[in-house]
Amino acid sequence: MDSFRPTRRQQETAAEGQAALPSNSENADLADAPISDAVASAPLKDQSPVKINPDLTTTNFVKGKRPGDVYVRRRDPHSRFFKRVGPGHFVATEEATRAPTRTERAYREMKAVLIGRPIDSAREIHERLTKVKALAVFSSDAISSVAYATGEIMLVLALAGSQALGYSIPISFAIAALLFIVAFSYRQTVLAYPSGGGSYIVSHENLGTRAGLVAAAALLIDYILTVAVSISAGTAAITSAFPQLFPYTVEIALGFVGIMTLLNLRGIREAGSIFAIPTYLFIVTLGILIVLGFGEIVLNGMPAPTEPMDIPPQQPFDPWLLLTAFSAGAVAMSGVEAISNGVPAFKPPESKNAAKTLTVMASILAVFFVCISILAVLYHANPESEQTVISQLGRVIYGDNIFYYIFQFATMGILVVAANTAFADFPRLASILARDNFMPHHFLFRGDRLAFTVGISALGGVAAILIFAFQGDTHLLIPLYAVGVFLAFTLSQTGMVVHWRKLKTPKWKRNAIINGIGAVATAVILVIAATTKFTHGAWVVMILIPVLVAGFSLIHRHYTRVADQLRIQPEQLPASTIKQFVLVPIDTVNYASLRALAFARSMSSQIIALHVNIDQERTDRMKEKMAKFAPDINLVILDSPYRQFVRPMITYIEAVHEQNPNAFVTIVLPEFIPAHTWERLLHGRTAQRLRAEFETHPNVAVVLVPYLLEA
Amino acid sequence: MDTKVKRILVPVEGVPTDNESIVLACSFAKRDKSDILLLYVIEVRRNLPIDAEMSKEIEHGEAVLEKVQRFADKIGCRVQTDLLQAREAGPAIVNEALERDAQLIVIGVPYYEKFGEYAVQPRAQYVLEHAGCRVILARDPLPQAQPALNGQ
Repeated sequence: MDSFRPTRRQQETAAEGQAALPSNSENADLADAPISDAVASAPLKDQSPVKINPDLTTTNFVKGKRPGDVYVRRRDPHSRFFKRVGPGHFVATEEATRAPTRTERAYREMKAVLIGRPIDSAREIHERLTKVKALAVFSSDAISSVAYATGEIMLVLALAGSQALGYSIPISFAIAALLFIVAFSYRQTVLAYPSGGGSYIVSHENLGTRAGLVAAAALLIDYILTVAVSISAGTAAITSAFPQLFPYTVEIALGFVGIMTLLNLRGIREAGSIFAIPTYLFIVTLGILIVLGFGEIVLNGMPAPTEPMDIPPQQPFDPWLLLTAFSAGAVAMSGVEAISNGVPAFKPPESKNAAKTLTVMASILAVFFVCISILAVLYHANPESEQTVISQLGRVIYGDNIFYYIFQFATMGILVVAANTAFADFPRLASILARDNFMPHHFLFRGDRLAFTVGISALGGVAAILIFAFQGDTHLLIPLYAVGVFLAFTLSQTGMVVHWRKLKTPKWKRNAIINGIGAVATAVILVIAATTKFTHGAWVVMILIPVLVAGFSLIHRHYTRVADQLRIQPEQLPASTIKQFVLVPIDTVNYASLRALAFARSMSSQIIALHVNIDQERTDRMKEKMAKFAPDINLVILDSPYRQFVRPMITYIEAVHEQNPNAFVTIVLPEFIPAHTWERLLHGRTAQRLRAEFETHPNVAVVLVPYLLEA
Repeated sequence: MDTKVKRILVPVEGVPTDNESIVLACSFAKRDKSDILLLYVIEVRRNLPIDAEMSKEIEHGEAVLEKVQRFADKIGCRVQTDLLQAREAGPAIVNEALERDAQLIVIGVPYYEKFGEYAVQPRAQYVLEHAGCRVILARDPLPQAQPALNGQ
């Protein structure tokens, strides 16, 4: 199966009747090589029909021992490559996709080591995620925000002095309540839209295409930022623990991006297995921390502050500050929509499993978030300390021992794998957009491991660029973050309100009210986040979203135009056959050009052999040979006193074509292929140049007739 | 068996004894590093040409061969397969053994009674009578005996 191109010797032994004729090689010595008598005397035409068995089986009659005893042996010599599943229907085996060359085989081996062996499409269902693994894959983003959300709230409240820090508890409860509303809304989405898509699908279907695209743009930006922010934060945890690594922040972060990309290219199930470890380690160690923290209070009473904390007020406490703190803490909700986008990755029944996982995730997130906020206040955590709030709690509750370091390691781990949520969802959303013709169709492509290869690689690439541009600084990246998240939430929940109104299912009013409240709340946070973070970088996202939407529209317009032009219309069907004439550019007459002429004869009776004369002596030799080997072909000589070869030929072909513009011109070009790649440098590329020239011509087809040279 | 066998022919029919015969053939093949050729014969009615396109039968034959091949793979045995169309299976098997230079035919025979007495099936009977090479029969256990190896 390595090559279907016969060598000259193979043809000479196999052919029963080859016609003889021309070539356009640039190498005069080679092209003028003598044609053997055997070929020259070959019959002009082989009229026998070509027998083809598309089922790839062979039948041999075998004579038995007894007189008249005959039986038939049916063979499938290509069964290694194709498994026959029915008449005219095959399944290509792994063997059929085997790399033909050593270089390609080596590349594939390397790829197999990095991303694993290809997986059969039929095993797609086995690559689905169980609820336990899905919780790790889709919730690491949301749950990891517990690590910094309380700190963000307290940092804003600290502007009004240490007295105001206590408000972080009611704010956390409010965010937890909002989280449940949003989670409930997404639970309905998961059940109502089992094919995934989340905010994009809901907005697209209920609020229109434009709103859907805005949500999609916001989500895509959000996912890219999730990777950049989470990995930068995880890297910061390492460089904080080992300050000597600080100069290598960008390199470490880019390394993490590379590892995450490779792990995701290996496929979702394996990624789930790997990412489950830090996620569950964080959940367990944080759970123990909370139990020990409250247990200590119950058993020994309120702890006294370890160091006096007196933060002087810089501004008065007012509702705006409260709202700003609320919006800062609301980043805890980022990642809630992840499950609704990834429903198809769940094991069946997909929707129910996704809904249960979403509920568990929201519950864990809300409980942890509220508990951490309460403990932070009770244990007098200082938001302005160099240590994070959660680290202060760990040090006080666990003590400065191995458990504290395990907890810190788990925190770092979940922050890094939080990026995986984006790796799970970005490619899926991109594929949905590609399916709807809003993104290039390449994003629909699933690679060897059934992962959306292009989406994963694109996300890894863009996130790496962002990390490089912002030098892996989390604080510079975070202001870009919130706008996209809350814009998507708002559109999704507004879409759900319209959804309930349209369907009027039982309890639709209650559901619409819940979603309406969620939409208003997230819209308010959106406005606050956009206002307070505008100058810090939110403006970039606010410009980028309309740019992306315009890009989506442009792509959609292109695909629509293509579809319109390719659509079959019963009143405008093409003719069942097309009139054509064949042109064979000939430089010299040799074996390869004779094959090309034979090929041309099989296509049409209207053949013109075209020779561009730049050397009279060669032209005379060529004419002589044509008269001997292809007397039936109409030869046209084109003198080119300016020694131009390709251009006069093209002009002549166009002139001929003008006589009958509706007819199809097939240009048959003999092309010999050297056995070694380096030998190609020794020959001109006239055939390729001509093909490139006519590529965009509507009624011209260029056919290269290859002739493989022996080594 | 004293002499080494280079090729073993195993006619299969899609019956439980197929796997019995494969297990037996594999044990010889592993010992002698011999090839195993699985054979399925479609018997063509006399009112049809010998090379008639019998899609259903071909499909069934291919499925049987594939199933037995999978079983052989499972027990660590590599096999080749062939599908024949003949008027009668017996002569085709005998002839194919000759053509393919097989030194041994392992043939599975279900427990079969004719007129209340045990009888070898006509196909196996013909092979036993006419094959030039050695023939081993792998018969089903009696109904009250242990279950078959394959559990088909």
